[in-house]
Amino acid sequence: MARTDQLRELSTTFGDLYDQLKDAYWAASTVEAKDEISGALDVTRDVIDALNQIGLDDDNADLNSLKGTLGTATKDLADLQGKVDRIVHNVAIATTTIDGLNRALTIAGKVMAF
Amino acid sequence: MTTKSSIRRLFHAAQLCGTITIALGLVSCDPLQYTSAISDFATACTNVTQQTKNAYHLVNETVMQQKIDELADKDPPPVDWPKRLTPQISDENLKIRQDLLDGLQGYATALANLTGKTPTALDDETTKLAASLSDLADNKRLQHSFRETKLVTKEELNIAATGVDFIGKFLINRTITKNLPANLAKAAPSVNKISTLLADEIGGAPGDKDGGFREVVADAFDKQLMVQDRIITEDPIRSAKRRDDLAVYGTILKNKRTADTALANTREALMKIGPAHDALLKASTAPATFTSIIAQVQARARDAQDFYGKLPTK
Repeated sequence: MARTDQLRELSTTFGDLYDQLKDAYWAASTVEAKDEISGALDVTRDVIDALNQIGLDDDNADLNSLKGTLGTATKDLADLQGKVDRIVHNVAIATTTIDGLNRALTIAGKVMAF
Repeated sequence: MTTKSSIRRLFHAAQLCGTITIALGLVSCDPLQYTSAISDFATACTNVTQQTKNAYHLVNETVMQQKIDELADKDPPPVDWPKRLTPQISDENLKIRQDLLDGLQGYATALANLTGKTPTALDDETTKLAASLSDLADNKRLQHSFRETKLVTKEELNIAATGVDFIGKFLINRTITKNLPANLAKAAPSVNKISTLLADEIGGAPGDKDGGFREVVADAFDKQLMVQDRIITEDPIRSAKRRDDLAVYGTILKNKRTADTALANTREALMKIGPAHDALLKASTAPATFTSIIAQVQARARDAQDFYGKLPTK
């Protein structure tokens, strides 16, 4: 897959994950769980902002800054991935969120390998 | 001369007079016949320009409030917290948008001046604006500035840059006293492209995920709601503080809805500037169409103003 296609997929996947995390936030009941998801929302937003900064159509864009942001984000998102089941009690929302996290971590790994 | 032939001659004379009157009307294209319509168009442009500037103020204020709320919620605050308090629309990007809006307004005002009386000398401000627009059309700042909005493509930006250049040159030359309709037709694509570009950046409904300002503002309000939600979650049940915090939550929710409506109205008003300019071209033959579209522009701008008027002053 071409680099620009993967960047587009990264953008779509993180955009979807952002919405899924918002749903997960409202489904969480404790302040600790909400804090955890709020942190994940922040790093997801950082990736979206970093993507907006470089522009998806530019084949020669410098990806170093994006990779740095992705590095931090994937660590936090992977951390949350293992906890979603416990902190989000709505099964449908928890399942969608875990699926979104899986997809985001997979495409992030591909982009980091550029 | 019989009565019949007199009547026939009178009839022919009347026909000839009518034909001459129509022909004179088409050939002269007297700018004065447009004066009232152009004045209305200029007033509408001024209102829409002002409301669009207010929209940018709303975007920056809302996002800044969200960042302040989030920082206040973090213990300890992040070490780089001063860096995080940057405006959503930077000063440089704000200047580009203000120049585009001032260019549109300057064009409409110049039209009104040209058709109303002898043109006044070019003032320093207009000269600076024209130079700024020509510079903007020439380099990549315009493209860079709008890169975050998915509705705006590179092709659209290139066309808009041509329009920006046209308006910049128009402000300097202002040579349209003759053949006004042809000159209005020439300016139409530029007016259309610039106003569409600015409208597209405001964006569609927040759920459209187009990266527009409506989405940015809705997201900022969502984040404010989340911070307030965490405060409420920790409040003692049935306490006065909990009631107060719930009231704050309700206010944020209400502001989210009205802010989006104001942005949607601003977008609609901007979208109608191009069609209003097109209707201006036909104002002498279809005045009702022009009046109707100008009324729509003004109504949208007025609705937006009702909300922006309540914002804290800049």
